[in-house]
Amino acid sequence: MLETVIFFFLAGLAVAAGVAILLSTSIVRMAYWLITMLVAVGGLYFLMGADFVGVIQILVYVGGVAVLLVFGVMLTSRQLAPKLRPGRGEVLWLAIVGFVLLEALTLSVLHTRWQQNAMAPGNSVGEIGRNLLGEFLGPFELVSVLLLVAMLGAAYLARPKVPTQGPQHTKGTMVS
Amino acid sequence: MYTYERPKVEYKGLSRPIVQLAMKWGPIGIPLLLRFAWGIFFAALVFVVAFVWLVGHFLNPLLPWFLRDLVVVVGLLAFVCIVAIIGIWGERKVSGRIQSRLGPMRTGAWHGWAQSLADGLKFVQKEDLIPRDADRPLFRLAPYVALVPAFCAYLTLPFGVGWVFHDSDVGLLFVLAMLAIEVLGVIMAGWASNSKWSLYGAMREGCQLVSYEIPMGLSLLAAVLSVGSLSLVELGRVQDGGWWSWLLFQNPFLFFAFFTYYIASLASCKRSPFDLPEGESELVAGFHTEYSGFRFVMFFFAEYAGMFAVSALATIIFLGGWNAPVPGLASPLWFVIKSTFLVWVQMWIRWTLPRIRIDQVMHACVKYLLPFTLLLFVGSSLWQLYDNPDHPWFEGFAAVVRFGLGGLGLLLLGLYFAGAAYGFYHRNRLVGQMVRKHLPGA
Repeated sequence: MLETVIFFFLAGLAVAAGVAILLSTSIVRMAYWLITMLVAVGGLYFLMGADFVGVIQILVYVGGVAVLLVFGVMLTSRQLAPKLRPGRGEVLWLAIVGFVLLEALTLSVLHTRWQQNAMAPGNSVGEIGRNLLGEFLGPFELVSVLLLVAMLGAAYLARPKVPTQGPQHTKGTMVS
Repeated sequence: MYTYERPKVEYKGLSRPIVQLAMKWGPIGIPLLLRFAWGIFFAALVFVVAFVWLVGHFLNPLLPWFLRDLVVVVGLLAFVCIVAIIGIWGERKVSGRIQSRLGPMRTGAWHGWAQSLADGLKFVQKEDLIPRDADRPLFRLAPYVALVPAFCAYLTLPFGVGWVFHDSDVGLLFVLAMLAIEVLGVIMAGWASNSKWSLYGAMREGCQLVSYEIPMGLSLLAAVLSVGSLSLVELGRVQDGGWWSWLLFQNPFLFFAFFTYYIASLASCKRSPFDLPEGESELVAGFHTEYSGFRFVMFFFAEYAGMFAVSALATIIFLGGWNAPVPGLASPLWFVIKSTFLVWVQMWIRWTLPRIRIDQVMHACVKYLLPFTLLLFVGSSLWQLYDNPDHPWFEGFAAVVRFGLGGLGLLLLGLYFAGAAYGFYHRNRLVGQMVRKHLPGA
């Protein structure tokens, strides 16, 4: 009974926040609605007894990704409150992409067999660790290599374009 | 003659009955409260002990679970508020002692203990200002986003065996996650205030916290690795049996991991020398420049709750938690004493060290603290091979290292107390020669 009430509260909050992301025009407001949605989904994980997944959701998405997102928005905005509004051509593309994504998600939800063998509710962290380094070692390593590549790409993009302190700059004139 | 009169403040909502109550009963109640302070203090102490005993022995089996939860949550909330109030008073006294001034002395009875209560009354009465160009909903929401996670962190903090609201098997990560949400409130406040000082403070907070979270988590992981559990209760339980079995003295890498964790935790709760987000010398008051009244108090409460939470984490993981220095005396009291000591060290550091620049803060984290904690993490993983019970020779080696580190820790503590006693004995002695220089014309 109480679980149902809490579930509908959290799920409704997540859906409402998702709709609010689409409807709001200020980027910062959008970021905070996104955070609301992520926290609500984390709450759903807690409700299901998956403490580890819920905590990681909050620690990584809310504490790391969302903070960096808000931070990036603040640093890159020209005006103090940047507005976002898609153009005519963009709406078409967005509609196509959104429709394909929605279709893919709906189909995958409908065609997955959800009756998996349930995990024991005890020490979920140890079980996850054993599975990650045992059965799913290959995908785990693949994902870490992917993350490494993404990090290298970010470092490459963020490097200074002009060499700021080369030896040829400081050779001739000494400004003191 | 022209005098400007402020328009009379109209109190609305919840603050109205509080102000009316304070206006009506303050002049009578406060002198009485100060007159019988010691009696009230001891009565409250006896009442709390009796209440805890009653709930623990008789009511807890009878109570339905939601009432039990309600009682514990209200108790934790009261604990957080008391920690914040005593912390604010303690901050003033410590700063006064360190900088050779008095701190609150003339008002508020014995050493000004009631000063924080008076502050609270003052802040409730103050006008709730919101700047005209502020982002109103975010501005009003920000203090709650800062305070509520700081309180939520206490839900999985064990004060002793059985003295915990929810014994989660990922308790450590839960506390870290809650402390990580707190930064959002600060960034929200800085953005919504629509003031350049607030925005600078919020941006400093963002980059500082996201960077220092990594060394903080890695130092804790080094300890988690040697125990093999993320549950705070389990982490405290393995350190039973004397000061030499505390994780701090288990291996040399954990000994240093404690100090790196402590430095990173100073940065993560915005304490000096890392208090750049509210650097008063540069940014007026940083992210809470535009806040007044009770919303300002909520930021303060969040800071002090966060200070105690990170100290409690250090206590549970490195300093044995509720276990006494001698075996068999485990009690929640030890936990509170050790955590309070660490909070006091935070204040000590704040009033001793000067503030460093923001680029120095980032430099210290990324170039020195982060590689060092990575080294500690790798070293602590390798130490697990040494600590293997299958090889008695290595076991003997590990025991020698453990007792050596324990002796070192005891020596440091002894030196600290000896220094404190020396300073107290010579407390009236001036540093250097006293200079007597008459002012011209005196």
